[in-house]
Amino acid sequence: MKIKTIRIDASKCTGCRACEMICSAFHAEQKYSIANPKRARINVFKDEENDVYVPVLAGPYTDVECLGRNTVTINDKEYGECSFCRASCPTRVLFKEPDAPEIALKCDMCGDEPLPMCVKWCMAGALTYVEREEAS
Amino acid sequence: MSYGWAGNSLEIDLSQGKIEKKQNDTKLYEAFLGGKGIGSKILWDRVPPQVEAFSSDNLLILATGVLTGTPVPSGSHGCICFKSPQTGLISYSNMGGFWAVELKSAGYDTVVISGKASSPVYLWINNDEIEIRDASHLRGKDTIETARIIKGELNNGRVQVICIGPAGENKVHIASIEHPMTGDSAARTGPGAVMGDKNLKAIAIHGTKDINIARSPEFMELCEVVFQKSGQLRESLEPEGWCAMMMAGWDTAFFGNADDKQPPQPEFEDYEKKNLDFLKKYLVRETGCYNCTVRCQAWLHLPEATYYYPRCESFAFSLGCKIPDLVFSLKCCNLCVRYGLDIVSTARTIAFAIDLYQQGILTSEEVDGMRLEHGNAEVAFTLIEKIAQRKGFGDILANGTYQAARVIGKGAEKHTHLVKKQDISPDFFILSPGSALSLATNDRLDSHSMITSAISPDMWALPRDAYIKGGWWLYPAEYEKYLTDDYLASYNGIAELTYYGENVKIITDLAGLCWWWTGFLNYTAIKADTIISLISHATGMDIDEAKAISIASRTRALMRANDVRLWLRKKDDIAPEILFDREPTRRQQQLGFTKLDRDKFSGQLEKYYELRGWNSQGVPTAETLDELGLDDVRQDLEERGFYKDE
Ligand code: SF4
Ligand code: SF4
Ligand code: SF4
Repeated sequence: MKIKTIRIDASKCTGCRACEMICSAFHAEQKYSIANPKRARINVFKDEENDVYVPVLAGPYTDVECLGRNTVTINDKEYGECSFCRASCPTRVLFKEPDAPEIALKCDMCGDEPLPMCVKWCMAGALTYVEREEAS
Repeated sequence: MSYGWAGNSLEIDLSQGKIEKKQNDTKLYEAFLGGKGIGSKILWDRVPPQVEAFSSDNLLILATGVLTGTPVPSGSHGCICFKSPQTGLISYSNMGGFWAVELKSAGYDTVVISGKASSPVYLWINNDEIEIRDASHLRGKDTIETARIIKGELNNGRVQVICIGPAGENKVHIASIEHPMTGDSAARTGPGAVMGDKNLKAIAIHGTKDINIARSPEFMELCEVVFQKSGQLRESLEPEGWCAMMMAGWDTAFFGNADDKQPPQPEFEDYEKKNLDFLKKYLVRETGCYNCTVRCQAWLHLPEATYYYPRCESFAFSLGCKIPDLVFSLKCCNLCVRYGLDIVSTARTIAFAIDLYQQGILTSEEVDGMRLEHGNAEVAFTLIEKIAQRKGFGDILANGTYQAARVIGKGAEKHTHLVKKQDISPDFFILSPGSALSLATNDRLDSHSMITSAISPDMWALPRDAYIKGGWWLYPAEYEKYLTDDYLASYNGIAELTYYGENVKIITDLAGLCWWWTGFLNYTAIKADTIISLISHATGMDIDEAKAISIASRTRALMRANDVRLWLRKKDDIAPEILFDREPTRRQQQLGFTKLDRDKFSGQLEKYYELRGWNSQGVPTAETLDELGLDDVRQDLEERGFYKDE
């Protein structure tokens, strides 16, 4: 079975949020009729002062928050694990419809599009599309 | 539902602590679109000439563009409009980054700030919740720290902050508003001082609302074209990227030094190469504004610190202090960003002080015992701090060179290089007649992005055919006839090119797109017809080229009328003297540039007035104003006696 994946190269990300913009526009009820990065299924975590830019794709919804959260250290700076987590989870607003927080947002690889929209609009090459063969 | 625009604006009265949300007057937005169009209309209506820049009646207006936040690449800009303390004219500064998109996502096209708070405050705009918050704990903090603290206390990583540093708090006339860690600022002509006078330390913004597109299939089709074109633009700058070209690729010998009669200086001979090597080593990440493919900004990670890479401005310090070392310049720029100072004016002001000292016009006693020598980095660092804090001699420099020269006297005025009281940057010591005319006439005064439109092909000495065939030139086909081989000598078509280029820049601004994309340097990624169609599809209005030009002309006429009603006269529409007097640098000579010619220049100026529908004194005629639907402006100028000789 072919699995669609997006490879993220955080070192190439410029933090432009074009991926968020196009994801929200593509998934609008009437395609491209809105732009709203806060409704995207991808979120770019940015800590400019420490040069950390990490695009995170929305993963599945979870109705319980995780216990025993860890920290991640990058270049001597500690980040809460939530910063890079993919879940739409009860503890945070991320990956939910801003006006309807009960609706979780999850990356659907843009359905039948030959190329995921965020990959297409990421001019910097931080996101690349990779198809992986997996035994079904 | 509102399309293109968010549909609402905010009125904040800091004296009364009043916050009012208003629905937009649709007619007003259709007539002016956004950005400086809306800003100049509000300033005309509400800031009469007697209101001083540091008055609670002066306004600080944040105005996004009609396409800001829509999917069009580079639709990230907004405009900050105010009456300038440096020039006493109506002014504005166009700033990219993320704040303008955030403001529109919060539901507002425009924010009008009046009054003065009694103690430092910051404004917190979070969708419909607006708060004026205490900022006494932020007093004296630099801009980067201010943004960090605010984001921390609002506990929201997606908050966008614009703020002032100590310079703005001290009402330094050349103070900027910074958008920390994005590399963007609104810097020219002192917006930071106006914000400081209002006791407004920062504006924090967060929004989660939709920006709606009326005709989305057509709109996206065009976005796709812009996206591809800008991608090609980006590729053409590889492998070093935009930044490298901006800095190292700009041969300083091309521009010369402001204070020397005979540049270039020998120590700058290998500056270009040294800078390129340096960038290759330390440039770790290019960044940019919201939804931008070009990414013209960058961070350099040096062993001792991380520096934002401030493009061409950075060599202003190198040239002014005669220190051909990029790290020195970066350190200066970094200090300016932290203190909230305009890099260009600060560099010019310091170069001016050193020059006066060298000429014996200033003595050590007058400059707090310092020795203002060239080649001494400490001089620059100390003066930057003194200016920002208005300490000692810095208090005189803090008002820019125009006012400083008047305080110092003793012929100091001869050492200033000004356009309408604003210090101009050394990179404009170029002799292109097109840029000179634009510099002399445009409403942004000395602005990199504004004045380069008319001159691209010759200034950059590109192979013209490939350039035009590649669709990189801003101008429509009928303008190609001006690109004759004797263009630089004949001044043929310069008024026409300036006029057209300026209109495109105005439309770019009203749209909220990046000026760099419409003919900065040698390339344009978006032409006027594309922007006009994008505006039409986003809003659902039908705007053709003629209508767009009339909207641009309306904005231009209104700004001009306001400046004329303040103090601007024909004699002020002149490029700095040095451009007429100084011999070209060797590199300029190779490219065919000569000194500017006064007669030819004034011929083109008159032609420009004609194209704009202004009279021989540079005042918009009664007919022009009536045609543009500005009857009230015509009436005001009439009452003030501007037409009495006609
Ligand atoms: S589009 Fe690419 S470079 Fe821009 S923020 Fe997204 S991942 Fe980063
Ligand atoms: S693949 Fe599609 S759905 Fe997933 S984040 Fe990218 S644009 Fe959004
Ligand atoms: S070109 Fe530079 S200033 Fe313009 S939108 Fe892109 S990053 Fe911003």
